[in-house]
Amino acid sequence: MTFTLGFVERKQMLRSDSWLVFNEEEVAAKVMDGEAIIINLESGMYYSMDGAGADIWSLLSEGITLGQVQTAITSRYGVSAEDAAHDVERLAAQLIEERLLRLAEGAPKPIDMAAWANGGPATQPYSTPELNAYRDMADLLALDPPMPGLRATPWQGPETDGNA
Amino acid sequence: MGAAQAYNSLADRFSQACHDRAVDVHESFYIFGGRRVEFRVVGENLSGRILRPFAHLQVREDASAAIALTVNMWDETEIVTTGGNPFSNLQPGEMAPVEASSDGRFVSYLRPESWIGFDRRERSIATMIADTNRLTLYELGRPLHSPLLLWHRDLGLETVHAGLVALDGRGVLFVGEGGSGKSTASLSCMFAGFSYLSDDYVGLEALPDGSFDGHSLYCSTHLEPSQLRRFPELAPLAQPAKLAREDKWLVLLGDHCPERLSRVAPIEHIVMPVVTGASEPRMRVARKGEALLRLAPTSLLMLPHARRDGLEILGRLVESVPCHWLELGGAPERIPDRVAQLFA
Repeated sequence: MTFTLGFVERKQMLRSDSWLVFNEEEVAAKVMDGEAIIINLESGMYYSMDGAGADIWSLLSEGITLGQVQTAITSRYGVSAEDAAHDVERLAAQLIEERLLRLAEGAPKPIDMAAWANGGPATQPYSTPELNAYRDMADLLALDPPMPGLRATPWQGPETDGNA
Repeated sequence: MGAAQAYNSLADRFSQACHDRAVDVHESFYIFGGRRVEFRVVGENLSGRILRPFAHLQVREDASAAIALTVNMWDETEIVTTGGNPFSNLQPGEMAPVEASSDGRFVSYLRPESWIGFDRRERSIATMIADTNRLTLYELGRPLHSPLLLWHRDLGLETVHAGLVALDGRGVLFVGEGGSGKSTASLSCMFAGFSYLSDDYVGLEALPDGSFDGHSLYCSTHLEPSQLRRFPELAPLAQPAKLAREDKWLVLLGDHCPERLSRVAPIEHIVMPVVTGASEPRMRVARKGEALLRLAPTSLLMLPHARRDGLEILGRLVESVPCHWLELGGAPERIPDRVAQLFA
């Protein structure tokens, strides 16, 4: 028997050495101009984050441990380690809950944190990162799903399978 | 019935229709997404109505040109074929779930008045129309919408939910969710002398130099009665809603102003209309992230075949051109001036 963990339980599972992986089967995401746009192609929900939230998204989705993300945010924004830890953990739990990232197992892949730190201090002051969630498309899709099941079909089309 | 069986049945029955009514087969050619498409339609009533949204894309026959898609259609009330009536399984207004073969090659759609089979590998669509006179305004304004968008995607062309107009051949893409003002902005610009390509769906072609062309698909527009009042020239041409669930009227712009319709334009600006109640239209710079947030969800999630790389392509489009907010409120007649100033 399996159980689905809720927000509180998932949050309790997160530690500073926890790391997450991108849910690439269901999610598309892009950070542009300091704004993260994240789309769950299956549920129809989509999300945005800017400022420190976009940075946290970039780092977490790269597979960096929560502890490393907290250190990077503290360094970039000059925010206290305690505040950064709280915000990163809260946001990580929310991203798991929304099925945008998944809790990973095993050792995280090595990350060159220096490369990210070369971006220098943030140009914007720190503000509590928020995940903005948009339901409008999900509601539309629930009423009129466009083509159930076709997204998962293996046939990729003439341009991509070399038959063009 | 599976999707492969559905397509093969439709293809066989189309052959029957052609055999039985050889003198009534209407053949015509179009350019969709820069590719040549052949339509073969059996039945006078059907051919006279179903092809009108594509009128601006029609080209002459060229036997030497490759055909990238063949579309075969007939009206079962005009030419009865043998093989049964699948529509009897549907309740009024019901749409059966879309079927896809396990390898994804075949897709079939059963709608209240149309049964469509698509062979993606052979790039061939076969369609039975139950009764042309009972097609919804949606089906008359955007024929074969789902399979045509899928065909675009198979060719590597994203389809974006946006309007597109052009001034002196330079395109402006209007982006936003339903009700944001895409149709108002697109039609206002058309009446001010811009070329019109679309107010809802645009085929997006990435070019080797990093720029993007926008391709028109339908020259139809669906307007609420309140929107029609802003464009009195269109009112006499508007086909009123017939069903309770149809809240918009259909206008085929090829009937009104064929000279103002265009097939393709390079996209040079992205403009996001937003109703703010401003006393007159105002243009201001938008962040790239804001533009992608307005463009991507409505384009990727409304289409059945969204893939993760679609967001990457839309991101490249947004990166490649300036992005703007167009604040709307009073004085809509000044919208075209504000848009034209982008090229000043």
